[in-house]
Amino acid sequence: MIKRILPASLLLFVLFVNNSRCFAQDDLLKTLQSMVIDHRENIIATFKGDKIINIQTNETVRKNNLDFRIGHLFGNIGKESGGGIHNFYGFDQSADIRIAFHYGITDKLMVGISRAKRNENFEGLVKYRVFEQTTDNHFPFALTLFGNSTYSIKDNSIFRKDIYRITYCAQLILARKFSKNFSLVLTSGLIHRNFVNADDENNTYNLSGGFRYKFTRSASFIADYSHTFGREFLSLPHYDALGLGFEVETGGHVFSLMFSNASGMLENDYLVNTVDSWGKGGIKLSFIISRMFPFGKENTKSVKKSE
Amino acid sequence: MRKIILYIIFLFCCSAVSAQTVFIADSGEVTFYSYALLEDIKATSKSVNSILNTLNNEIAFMIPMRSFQFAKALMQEHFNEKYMESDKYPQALYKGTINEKLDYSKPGTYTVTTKGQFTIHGVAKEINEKGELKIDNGSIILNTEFFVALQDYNITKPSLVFNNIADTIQVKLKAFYIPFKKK
Repeated sequence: MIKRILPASLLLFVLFVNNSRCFAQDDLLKTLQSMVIDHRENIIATFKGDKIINIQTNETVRKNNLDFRIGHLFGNIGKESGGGIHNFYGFDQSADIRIAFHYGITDKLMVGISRAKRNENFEGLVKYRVFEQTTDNHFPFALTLFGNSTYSIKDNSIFRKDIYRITYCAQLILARKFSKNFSLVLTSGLIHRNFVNADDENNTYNLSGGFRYKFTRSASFIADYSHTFGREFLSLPHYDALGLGFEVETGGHVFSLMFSNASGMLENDYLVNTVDSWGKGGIKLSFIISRMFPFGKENTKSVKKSE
Repeated sequence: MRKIILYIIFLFCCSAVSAQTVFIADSGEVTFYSYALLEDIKATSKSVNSILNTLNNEIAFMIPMRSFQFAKALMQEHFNEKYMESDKYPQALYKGTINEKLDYSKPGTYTVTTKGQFTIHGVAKEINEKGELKIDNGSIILNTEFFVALQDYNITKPSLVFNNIADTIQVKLKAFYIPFKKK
């Protein structure tokens, strides 16, 4: 009996092994898909730019690309905060103008320089993507670090020493794209100012959050909110910055219509110096013009028509 | 018992022979071109995954959409995010057969026609294309060129950039096949 079963089972075993070794002839595509190791991809386009309205996102300029950005923050709209009909609801004023160059050294590392009108600040910045969110949720969120330093050249007698003109900001940015339509970001950080008023503190900590909700294929609603701790004891009132806006993509360009009570555009400025409030009409319209210039060998190579 | 051992050896030999008839792409390159009024765009992927079964002339391709490299990073992002929706439809797939009977043991260059199903952006379409097979000792090189009409695959382009993207995209593909050996 055993003599009979053994060969039969051996035969079955060999057939089975053989079958699994052979190709599933019926579906070549399935075989192909099973052979290729599913490689992990980074999630792209969590946000459309380096900032939502006021706060940083996880995004950086990609390798060998230079982003030339002009940001404009108009004056306050409400009459109570200096706006009203006589300066055409803030359009006659510019609370802040920032001209910046952001350059991608690698796909993860971005450096930049800028100049802001308010407080005549010059800024140098670094932003680095530590982890990017991946399609397989190996990293369920993106972690980015941001750091900058500003130097004010303002003619002001309080700057008795040159070192007083310098401020620093360091931030940790967590972002997640929950779906094609919804992305969320949380940032937390420290601002150090070398010189502050007597009632203020050199080191201040902040926490911010923002999101982007895409409600059509190219239009999104964007919002962000920033809170700096320990500002309620200042003699000058301080308000948290709230930004609300719409973002419309038109091909290669992103057009944003944004409203915010932030007094300036730099972290080192609006996170500690926002004195305007939504309640008192301290809302400002702002926009950004951005133009991306690709550099590098592969980027400038033109397509040969005859190829 | 001897019979069985012989049979086992025979079966193993069979599998060895059948493995020789299957070729996989060791390397390859696929490039697409868009020639439009304002701009010429090109993108290349070196992730060409393909199998060719010389027994029944079946051929299949799988190319990850995210593997296409553009000159402009922003363009690559738009390609994946807005046009191809690569998160939802991550691969370009093709499965078809070569119509001609070929002697794969004979080196030479053959013009072949294929019939099969091409899937991108979640839309599958029957396509008939031409290609060239170069059979060498133990390796096969495939060259093909075809056109893809965007609207056939429900790929819409925003009206504002219609001058930047062509309606029909030219695709050139090259794949180097070697005999498949299972590890």
